[in-house]
Amino acid sequence: MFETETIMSTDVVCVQRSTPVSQAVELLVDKDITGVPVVNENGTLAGILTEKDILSLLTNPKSTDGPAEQYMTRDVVAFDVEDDFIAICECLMKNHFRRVPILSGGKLVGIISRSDVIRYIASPL
Amino acid sequence: MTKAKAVMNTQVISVGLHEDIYEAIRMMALNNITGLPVVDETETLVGIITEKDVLSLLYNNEDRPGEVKDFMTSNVVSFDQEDDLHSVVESLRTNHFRRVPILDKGRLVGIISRRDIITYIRNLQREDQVLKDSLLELVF
Repeated sequence: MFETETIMSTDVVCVQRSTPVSQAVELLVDKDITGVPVVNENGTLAGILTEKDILSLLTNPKSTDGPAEQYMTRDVVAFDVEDDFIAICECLMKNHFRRVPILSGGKLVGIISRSDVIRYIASPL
Repeated sequence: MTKAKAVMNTQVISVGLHEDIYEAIRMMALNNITGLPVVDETETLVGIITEKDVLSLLYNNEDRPGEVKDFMTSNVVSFDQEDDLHSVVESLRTNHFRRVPILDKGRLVGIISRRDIITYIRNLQREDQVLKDSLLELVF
């Protein structure tokens, strides 16, 4: 049995809705991540800010002071920590996004990316 | 006009068409990369193999060996190293893939990922800040 909880990364970097997008860009580069969940003040998920969302800055580099919520993707697929790992893999296989936030009681507790799954596949070899 | 070659990563790790699929997965995991351009014997680009392409192996990790060519995506968008960077960014912004191979007369010479562009944006922001700071110093 695959356990979502044991495979997910719990060391999740996230930003607030009001975090300046320039700060989020620094985070993605420094932490070597491709997307960062955006949370409300109470820790619930508000959206996700990905590399793809940020690419539009290059065509308009002067607008770098806007808040994360101005650029983030709002319609995010998330899973509960109790959900089956295989269902999460299928979701990552069928959709174009490469990570899903994992929630517990509606609050962000982890993230599972395609890389987490690939490392899991590669590890017993 | 900034050209693709100004931003591309030339340390591109590619994989051969007939390589064992698990070797490709190991290369991705070890190098912490999400996709590998696939080349033939003449270093000509023939496809790309991504994390998404190999996720299906999770269900059959014992008895389905295979070569890279059995799993790769053959229909790859690529750019020439002389192409305008903005067309590359537009492609990465409007499509689902996160990297494009960069070619020189059809041969693989580099790769540009969304990450490379983000790093480029970060550097532009920093230069912008340095410029603002030095202007402030001049004024005060």
